[in-house]
Amino acid sequence: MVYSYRQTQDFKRFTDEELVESYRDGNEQAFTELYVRYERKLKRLIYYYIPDAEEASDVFHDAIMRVFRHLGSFDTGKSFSSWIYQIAINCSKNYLGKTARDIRMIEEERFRLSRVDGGKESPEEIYISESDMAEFNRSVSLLKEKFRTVFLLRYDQKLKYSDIAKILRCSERTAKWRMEKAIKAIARHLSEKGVI
Amino acid sequence: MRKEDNDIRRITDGLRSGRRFRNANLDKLLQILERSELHVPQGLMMDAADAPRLREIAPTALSSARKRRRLSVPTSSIVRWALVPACAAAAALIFFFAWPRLFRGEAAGTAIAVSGDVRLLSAGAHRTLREGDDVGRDDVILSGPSSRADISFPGGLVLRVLPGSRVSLLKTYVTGRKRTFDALVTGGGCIMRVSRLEAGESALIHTPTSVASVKGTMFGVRVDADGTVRYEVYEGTVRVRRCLPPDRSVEPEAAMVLERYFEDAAVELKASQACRIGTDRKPLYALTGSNVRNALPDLSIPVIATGTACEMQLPNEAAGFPGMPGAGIAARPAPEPRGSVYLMYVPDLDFVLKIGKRYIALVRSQETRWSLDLDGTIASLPVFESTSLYVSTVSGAAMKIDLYTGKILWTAHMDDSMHPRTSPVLDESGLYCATVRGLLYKFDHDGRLLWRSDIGCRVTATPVCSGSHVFVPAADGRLIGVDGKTGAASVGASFGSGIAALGARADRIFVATEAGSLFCYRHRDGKTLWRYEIAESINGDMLVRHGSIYMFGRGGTIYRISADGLLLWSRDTGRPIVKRPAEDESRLYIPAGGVLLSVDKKTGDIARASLEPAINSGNVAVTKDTIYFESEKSGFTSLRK
Repeated sequence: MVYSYRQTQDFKRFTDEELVESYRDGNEQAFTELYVRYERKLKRLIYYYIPDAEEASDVFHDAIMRVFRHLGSFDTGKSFSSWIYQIAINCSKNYLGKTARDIRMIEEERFRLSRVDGGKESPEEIYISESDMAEFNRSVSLLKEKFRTVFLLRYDQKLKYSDIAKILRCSERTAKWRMEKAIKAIARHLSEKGVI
Repeated sequence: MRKEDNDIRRITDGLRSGRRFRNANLDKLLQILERSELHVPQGLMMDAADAPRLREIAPTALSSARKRRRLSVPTSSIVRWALVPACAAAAALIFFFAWPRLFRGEAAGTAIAVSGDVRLLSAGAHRTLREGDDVGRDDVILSGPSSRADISFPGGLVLRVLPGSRVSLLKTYVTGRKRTFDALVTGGGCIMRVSRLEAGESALIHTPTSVASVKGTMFGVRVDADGTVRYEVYEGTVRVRRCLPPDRSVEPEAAMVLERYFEDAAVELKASQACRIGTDRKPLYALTGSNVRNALPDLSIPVIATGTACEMQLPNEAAGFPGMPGAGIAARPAPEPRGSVYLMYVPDLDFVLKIGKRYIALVRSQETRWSLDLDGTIASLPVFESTSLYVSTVSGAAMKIDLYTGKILWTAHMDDSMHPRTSPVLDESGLYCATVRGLLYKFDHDGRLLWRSDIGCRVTATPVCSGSHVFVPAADGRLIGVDGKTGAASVGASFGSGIAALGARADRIFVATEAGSLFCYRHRDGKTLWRYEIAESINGDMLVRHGSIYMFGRGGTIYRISADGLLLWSRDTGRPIVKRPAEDESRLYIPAGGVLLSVDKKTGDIARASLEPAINSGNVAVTKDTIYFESEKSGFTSLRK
């Protein structure tokens, strides 16, 4: 099947939930639009749990298949993004549970952070070296899982606390508290290592 | 400031009021949080355009994922439970026997001299480093602006941490009698002295972008704030190469190419040599399998310092270091840098010309017929006819040398310097020399100036002769034809981007541009006959032989294109082509690191010969039955074909 650019563009104005309804009405392109909207976001999220591109790709497809299968039962009165993130996180956790031994061995390699500006010095001339970044990576990887998940959803996915709360089935206040704890733990680690 | 970052700033500001972070640099934390992003390999990010194929992809991916999982959990639950006590018993036994050995292997160093403010980060705690303190694996040493520390490790290894440095100790083992040492210098510098290492031992100094492996020596390294690295060797030998970042942020496919490139570009520094590694013009994490080869020229590799840059800088900061010759060590003339010797076979004499930076010698196995030192630096490869050699120097001198005797027959001077990549060109009427600023000189065979023509633009490659004209490539993409008799210039054609190489056959000029296009231009009627795109920058060498054009992409692909513009074959050598190719009747010979590639001109079949030690010269010279080259240890070497 060939999709024209114009046809795909038309879906841009729909909300996620409207796209789900459109898909249920038999419009397969609606799912394609949802896929395009969430592909990169989900892959990034899954990759933080499973730091292997190939395995992360498998889990992503697993998650997408689940979304496919259960799209019929999705309650369009609720947030689609929360639902799809939930599925992605659950798929990742399931995968981690099954391969816990292997994952533990590569714990150190889980997070890879890079500088956005390619290493130029900031106006304040605070020098951030490669080893500082490595230590930061390490501090994120050492966070407890519940803190790390909030940190990732907020820091990388830029989700609102209300959405994070829905995904993690906790209160918004708890999500904020976890984010604060995560940054404190990172600061503590970096301070101990002499980075800050 | 992005709106969504406000809470991160608020939380960070909140930490300032607490006592726990009173001494912490929270501005830096904020900088790290705001200026970093989580990195995901591009390979994972499937193009969104593939979305419509989801239905085809997803089931396949799902089934492969399930298959992998089945492989990773092969045992039934009964077998798994039975394995638990067995594994526990085995682990206990291994721990019981290996424990004392493991701990005996850890070799802590001792601070033997500390001056100023030096701090030690050990097990998550800061403390001031004092003389007699133990320093071991995973410790980080931070020295203040005018402070330093000397640390002695078992096995005769001494490390001096220079002022304003950050040195992390990654490995400090002595297992049995084997020493393994690895340190990471992320700022400032250090000087290391280690007695000769035996087989199985290793001493490495890493910087974020490079690694130096030591065989038994004394050397120093400094990392500047802009990321530039400088190594200096005072005794022995050190091998320096670029390395990939430890966080594996480079895509696997790009990493493979980069590893080879860095390995090929490694240098061995001997006593009183220094090398510098600059900063990359493209970040490594931005490279993918598809763009990595074209990006290689933008990456910094170790360059052995020459001239005043070879003077040792670190010893001035290291007076009193055990075994150090002392402050202000005299810089001895550094040996000639790697790759600066070129070879040319002279069939009439059956000798090989060895062309160094400032000398020329006529040699054969175990025999030097003559050697001649020149006043200036030789610009690119000379040309010869029968027994006369024509050489141009960067300072703007052209000379004729008698190949029999090595005597200079005449020298002519030009008003401009020669480009290091442009050779003189010879035809039956005389010698043409193109200078950097675009002056074209013609001398007769006795050294008399016949004419001088101003091209009006920088010259980027060696001109070619065709018919009664000489064609000069200009930096702005123009090909300028100059009448060989009068010196009158006329614009032939313009090819858009800078010209990287020229070749000629009969009335056709083949023009390779820096953008990766090959044009066939017929100067008789000024027509461009065809154009072929190779989509890769070429390394500046082009051969036109028997109706075919051979081009060498920097990324490592060799192309054979027919005189009609058809691709006859292309072969990926798997290694970037940096050195000059040589040829005989049937094959091309290209040195690439420790390998000599031999390529069949007709079919493109590649044979590889691994050479140890690696070829050091910028090319090889090929005779009927022998290949000559220069190697690091063995010097001038011959190899039977």
